[in-house]
Parts: sequence; C-alpha cells; structure tokens
Amino acid sequence: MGVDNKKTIPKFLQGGGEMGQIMRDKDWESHVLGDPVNWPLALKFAISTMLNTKFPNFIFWGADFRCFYNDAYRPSLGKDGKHPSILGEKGKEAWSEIWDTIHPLLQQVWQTGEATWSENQLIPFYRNGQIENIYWTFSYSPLISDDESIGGVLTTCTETTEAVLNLQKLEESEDLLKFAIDSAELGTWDYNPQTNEFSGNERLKNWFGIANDDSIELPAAMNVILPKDRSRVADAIKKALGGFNQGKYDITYSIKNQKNHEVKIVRALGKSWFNKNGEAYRFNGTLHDVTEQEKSAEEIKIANRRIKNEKDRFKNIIQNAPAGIAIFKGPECLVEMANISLLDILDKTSSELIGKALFQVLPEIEVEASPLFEEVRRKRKSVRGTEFKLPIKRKGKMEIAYFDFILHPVNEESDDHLEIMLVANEVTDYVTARNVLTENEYQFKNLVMQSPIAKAIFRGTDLKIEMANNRMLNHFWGKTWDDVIGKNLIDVFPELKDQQYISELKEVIRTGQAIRNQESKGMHFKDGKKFEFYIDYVYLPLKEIDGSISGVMITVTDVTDQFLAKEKLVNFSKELKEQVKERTALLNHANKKLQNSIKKLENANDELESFAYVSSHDLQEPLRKIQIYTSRILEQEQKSLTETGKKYFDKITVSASRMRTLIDDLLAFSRMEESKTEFKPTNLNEVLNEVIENLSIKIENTGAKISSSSLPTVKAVPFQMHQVFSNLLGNALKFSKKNRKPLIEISSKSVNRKELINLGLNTSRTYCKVTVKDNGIGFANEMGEHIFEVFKRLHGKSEYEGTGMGLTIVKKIIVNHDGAIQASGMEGEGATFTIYLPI
Amino acid sequence: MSNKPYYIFLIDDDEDDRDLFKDALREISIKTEVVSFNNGLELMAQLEDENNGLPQIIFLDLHMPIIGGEDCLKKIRKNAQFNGIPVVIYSTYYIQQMANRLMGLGANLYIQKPSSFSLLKSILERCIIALLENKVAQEEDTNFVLKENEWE
Repeated sequence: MGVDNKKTIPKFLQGGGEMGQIMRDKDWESHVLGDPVNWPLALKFAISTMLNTKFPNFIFWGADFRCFYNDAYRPSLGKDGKHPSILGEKGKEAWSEIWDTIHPLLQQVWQTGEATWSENQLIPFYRNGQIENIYWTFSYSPLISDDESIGGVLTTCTETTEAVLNLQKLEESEDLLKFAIDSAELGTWDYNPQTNEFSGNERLKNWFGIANDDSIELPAAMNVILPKDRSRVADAIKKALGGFNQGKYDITYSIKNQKNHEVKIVRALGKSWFNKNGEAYRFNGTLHDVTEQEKSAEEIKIANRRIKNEKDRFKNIIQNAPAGIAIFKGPECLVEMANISLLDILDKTSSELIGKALFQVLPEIEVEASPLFEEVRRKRKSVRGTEFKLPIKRKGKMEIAYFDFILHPVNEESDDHLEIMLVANEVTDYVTARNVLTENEYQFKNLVMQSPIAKAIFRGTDLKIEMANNRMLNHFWGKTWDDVIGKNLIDVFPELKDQQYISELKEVIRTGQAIRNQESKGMHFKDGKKFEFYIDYVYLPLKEIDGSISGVMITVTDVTDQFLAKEKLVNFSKELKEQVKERTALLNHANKKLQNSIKKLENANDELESFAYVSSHDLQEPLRKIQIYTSRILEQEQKSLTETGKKYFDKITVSASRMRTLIDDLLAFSRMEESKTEFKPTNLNEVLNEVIENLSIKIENTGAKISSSSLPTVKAVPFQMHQVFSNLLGNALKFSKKNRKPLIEISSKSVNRKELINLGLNTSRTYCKVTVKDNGIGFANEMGEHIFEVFKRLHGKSEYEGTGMGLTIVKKIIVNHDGAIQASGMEGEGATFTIYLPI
Repeated sequence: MSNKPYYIFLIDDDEDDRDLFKDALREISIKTEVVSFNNGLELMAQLEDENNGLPQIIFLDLHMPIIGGEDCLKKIRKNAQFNGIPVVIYSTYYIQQMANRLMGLGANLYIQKPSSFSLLKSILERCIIALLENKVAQEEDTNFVLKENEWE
C-alpha cells in the first residue's frame, strides 16, 4: 500500500479525522464505485459535508445503499463490530440484522423524497461483540444525485441510548417513590405560591373529601382544617414561604372531610423552594394521617396521668393514713419518710424528723425501741407489738403512751441499706380508758358486794351462781361465798323447787323481759329452820352484744318488816273504817232526827205564823168595833157620863188603840214570809217620798224637818222598803224629844270591802248604805243590838206608844234582802240607823 | 151640790158595819140615799134588773160569803152598763199588794174601815166629794188608799 501513498488525494476526502484517513486509504480501485475522483459530484459533496461535521452522519448511496459514515458516528458501531468493514459495503449486507426495519424507511425516502424523523427509536445491533439495544433519534433525508434524481439517503442521527436508559431509570425511581408514598399512605401536596394553585394526590383529596379531578384553590384547602388549627397552620405556611428555618414545614393539625365529616389528625411535612431572588416558587410535601398515633399518644398521656394520680393518691393515702407510717434506713434508723399521723404521734414536724437518726431526735425512746429494730435486722422478719408502752416527750412533757405496731423489713439489702417500715397505732386513750374501766369495774363490784341491797348474778339456763353480794349471802342465803360460787341455784337451794322464783328466772333468760314483783311471799330454810319472808325483787336480763340473754341479775329487798307493819296498819285502818262507819251511821241517824226536828220546828213556825196572821186578822174586826162604838159613846153620850166613866172610856180607847197597833204589826211581821217574791229595782227616793207623804200629818203635827240626800236604787220588794222607811221615820217622829223639833237626816254612801267583811256580808256584791239619823231621845249605845228584838221596848209603855215590833220587822226585811242593819245611839242625843242593801 | 141625794150602794155582810155606814152618812152634810146588800149576789141581781136605777157609788166589802168583793168588782167592771160607776173598796184589812191588784181591776178608792166614828164620817165625806163633786179632775190628787192611821 505504500505505492498508493503517492497518489493524489481528492480534495473532498481531506480532513475528516480517522474516517477521512480510512476513506483515503481505502482501495477504491477494486471497489464498484471506483476511484473517488470519479464519483458523482453529489456524492462528493455529501461525503465532504459528512466528514467535516461533528454530528453523527451516515450515508446510504446508490441503489444498493453503499455505506459511508464519519468519526462522530463511529462510537455507535462499538469497538468490535462493523467498523470499519462496512465502509462502502451494501446496506443490506452491512445492516443485515436490522435491514427489515430500516429498508422500508430508506425505500420511503427514496421514493417520496421526504425526510423522516424518529426519536429514541430502539434499534438493537451488533457492536462490542454483542447485539446491543441502542436508541436512536435519527432523520433520513434524501440526497439529490447529479441528475437531480435521488441518489442516496443521508442519515443524521444521534445515539440516545444513554438518555433513554437514564429516562427509564428516572421513571423507575419515580415509580419507586410513588410506591413508597402509596405504601406509606402519605398524601402529597404541591403548592405554587405564584399561581396560588394547590394540588394533591388522590389520597389527599380523599381525605379532604374533594373529587379527584378537582383542582384545589388554597382557601378551599385551608377550609378543610378545623377552625381551632387554622390560624396556626396559616402561620406555619407563612413562615415556610418566608424562608424561616430554610423553608422547612412540619406541623400537625386536624382536618375534616368535607363529604363525610370524618376528622383526622394529620402531620404535614414539606419545604419551600426558592429562586435566585429568594422568592418561593414551590412549596410541597406530604401529609401523614397521625390520627391513631395522636389518639394513642393521648391515651398514653391519660394513662400516664392516671398512673401519676394513683401514685399521688397512694402517696396521699399513706400521708393521711390514720395509722402512723414511717420508713427507716440503716442501722442509724435514718428517717426516710414519716406520714402526718406519725408526726402527730411523735409531736414532731417533718423537718425535725425526716433525714435524721431516729434516736437522736427521740432519745427517750431508744431504750425501749432500739431492741425492736435490732430484732428486725437480725431476723429479717416483722416484729409486732400490742399496747407497747413507750415514754414520749410531747408538748414539752413526758408522757406514757401505748402503741400497737408492726416493724417490717421492706427490702433484702444489707444492714446498711435495709429499710424498715413502721406502722403504728396509738392506743393510749383506749388503754387509759380500759384502765379506768377496770378500776370502775373493780369499784363497782366492790359497791355491789358491799351494797345493802342484795344482788346476785346467775348465768345460763342452769342458773349458775356467778356473783352474790354480802347482803345476799348473809341475809337471804345464810351461805358463804365458797358454798355457792359456780354452783347451780337449785342445787344450793332445793326448797326453791316448788316456788315461783326458779321458773321466773328461767323465763327472764328465755324472753329477755325483766320481771318485777313486790311483797312476794317466800320461804326458805336457814340453819335448818323454815323462814317466811316478804321481798321486793327485780330480775334483769343480762344481754350479750349479739342480743342473746346469757344471765339474770337479781336485786332483792327484804320488805318483811315493812310488810308486816303495813299489814298491821291495814288491819288497824280497817278497824278504824268500821268505827267511822258506825259513828257515821249514828251521826246520820242523829242528823235525820235533827232534820225531823227542824222540819217540825219549821212546821210549827209556819203554823205559828199563820196562827199569828189569822188571829191578828180576825182580832182586827171585833177590836175595830170596840173602838168605833166606844168612840160613838164618847161622842154621843158624853154628857151622861161621869168623869170617872169618861176616864174609863179613855182607858178603853187607849188600850184598844194599843191593841190595834199590836195587831197591825203582828200582821205585817207574819205577812213578810208570804211576800218574798217580786224583787225589782226600787228607787229609794220614791219610796221615801211616799212615806213622807203618808206621814205628812204626823210631820206637820210634830213640826219635824226631814232632809235627805239622793238615795240609790236597789233591788228590793218595794212595799217592804216602804215598810222599812215608814217604820224608821215613824220611830224618829215618835221618839222625839219634848221641846225639841224632830230633825231627821237621811243620807246614802257606798260601802267599802272592810265594812262588808265586818258585817259578814257577801263581798262579791256591791252594797250601799242608807243612814237615818234623828235628834230624838236616843238610846244607850250598848243596847244597840237588843233594839231589834221582838217586843223589845226600851221605853215605858205610857211614854211612847208602840208595840216594839217595828224595828224587828225592819231588821227582818233587811235580812231578807241580804242586807244588814246597825243601830247606834246616845242617850238623850238621838239615834242613827244604818241599813246596808245590795244594789 | 145638788138637792137630790146621792144614790149609794153598800155591799157588806156585817150588819154592824152596815148600820155604822148608814149612820155616818146620815150625819154628814151631803145628802145620800143608801141601799145596802148582804152579799155580792144580791148586788148583781139588783144591778142587772133593768127596772132599778143605777147607783152613783158602790161601796164594796172584800170578805163576804158567796161572792167576795173582788169577784164582785170583776163582774161590775165587765159589764159596760155599770162600768162607769165608781167602786170604793171598804174593808177592815189593808194589804198593799191586794190594794194594788184591786186598783188594777178598776177600783177607784180603797178605804180601810176606821176605828173611830168621827173618822168614818170624815173619810166617807171626803170620799164622796172626791168621787162625785170634784169628779175625776181631783182624782189624781186623792190617794187611792184612805187608811185610818194616816188620817190621824
């Protein structure tokens, strides 16, 4: 080939790199195309262009598609393959493996003269010792030959295998991402701050309750957020878009599905992307449904809180437990913890005790308490105590206190770290109270034993003697304590068998009802003799806490003496009663007799009164005739009478007149009884006026002066009042002093209580008194009461006429009116009559 | 004063009293014609006989057999014909209640027979004057009862 070096190289084959060299070196003489100098012009141009472009070019020339290519195309042929053998070869042979694919395309360009365009076309062919899948983007364009027909096809191409494979890889990684997103159940979102457009994946839209094909405006997306979170979210978005924290976005909030209103808690993670100017052009990220997580977190929170509460409560319970609780650590008994009750018991504050060695704070308890702690340490077992006596200084005073307690090893540590828990209950009050009770019981028992009232206690249905006091033993039973203690009642006193006591005691135990009895007659033997006795007794049931009756307490009082005394008394009073009865009968008999006598007397009196009436009545008639005929004789026969005769007639006249007055008075007196009726308001002024009127002649004759004050109206029998005033005034006129004109004063006054009492009048009624006072002859004051007696005359018959009945009648009337009358007088000076009448 | 004597009836079972009454009237200044009856039955027979003239005053004793003075008065006052004749009770006894009752029955005066003849005369005179001459005009001033001891 050295010969050929001298050959002239045609201009169109100059340059062109390796392929230019190859083409120049090729022995074209033996080739069907011959010497390149003779090649058609069109081919020369095309080859020249091809060799000098950096773009991969391939030329199929002529009807059998002879192959030419440049350096840029060569890498597509690989290292061990067609290069450089296919240069100038027929297309059908050079590209036999793809000829079926490319021949139609070449044929199409040849015939139509129009270029083709194929992008990323897979055209696998043999290179690098194997068939490779090669992607091409290529164009077949026609090459016009010298005769202006189509002489070949220019292939401009670029291998895009790498790009396609990269693209494929990218797609694969996108798929992977999508898969990841899908399997992570993430919603994705993407927001363009410049267009305000918001997009999201299907899941997100599902969550939002927005149709899948809807595009979303940001406000609509914000609406999904629950109002409570909305401003917080808006704030976070603003911050992310503003570049805060490099545009990172991480927030959890609640959303509400617009369709089914389901609420979810979501966590949004995202980032803003900024351009050179620092403006956000994209803001995207994911949305994660954290509802369950949040719920769990909330539940955990609640659970934690509950645990804390329980812990607090437990601590509280310990702190406020009514028992004293403390924990001590190590041989020094350092106080780790002590609750309120314990502090109270020890009378210490928390700061005085906690963290201190127990016996330094409370040295007074060391002697008693430290051996207990040592025992716990030694045995590693609880130590208990009841009513444990401990001296404690409280409120500055040493006191003896009692405790029930447990000391309990809490852990299994060595002595240095051993914790001992103390639970202690102070029972000082109880112990003290019990001691007092015991003392009281002792005293009570003493009291019962010494009691003057016999007492005993029997237990059970056998009535076992549990207790009997001295009185019971000595007085009733005549036994010693040793004789009876623990024995059954019936065994000690067999004689009780037939008496009611045993069955009553058993009844008390059976029913629980107390039995009382008084003056019960009993009988027993003492020192071999039979005694009868009378007792008051009470059987009281003794109740247990469960209400059952376990025994009887009996209280017995010996009332034999009282009973017998009472018996005597009863007998005595019975006798007395008999006597009283007898006497009463006698008295009744006497009374009856008396009543009869009174009746008889009353009858006699009545008879007497009616006799007086009848007799005086009937006497009146003949007397009047004696008087009238006497007066006629004196009148008509005066002249024929001697002086002596006249004198005798005068005596007859005087006697008859006296008799007449006597009869009148007797009549008035006896008539009073029959006229008790007709008490009516009687104006004494009117009565007095009538009387004065009736006496007017006498008043005129005597020249008397009568003065009266206003008199009251009394309840009275009017004509009797008339009689009273008539008699009193008549007397005043009658017993006037010679040579002195009668002066009669009538006055009235009210009566005070004292006067009524003195007069023995009824103090519950109102009385008036009327006084009639004269200046007549009067009477000796000591005669005051006698003046009212029947036929009592204080003066001689001849001196003053009258029957002596006038005042008796007055008194009787006044008494009949429940009143009283008093007379007072002075010899020669006058008389005063005071009458008391009820109004 | 008229010349014609006053026509007067007296009913009294006591003959002495009838005589004394007539004697007394004879001796007073007023002229009278007295007819006396032993009892009320006779009086009523006389009064009810229309042929007889009616008296100007009737003096009536109380205690009489057959018909007492009180019943007599009731009969007189029951009859319209004699109702206007003044009736004077003329009795030994005086009981105020009874006197009141009789006044209620229509008696005009009550004279308790006096124990002196001169008093009898003066009482009868006053009585007749009061009832016939002074007529009713004086009645109010005259006590219904003319008792002896109050005239002394």
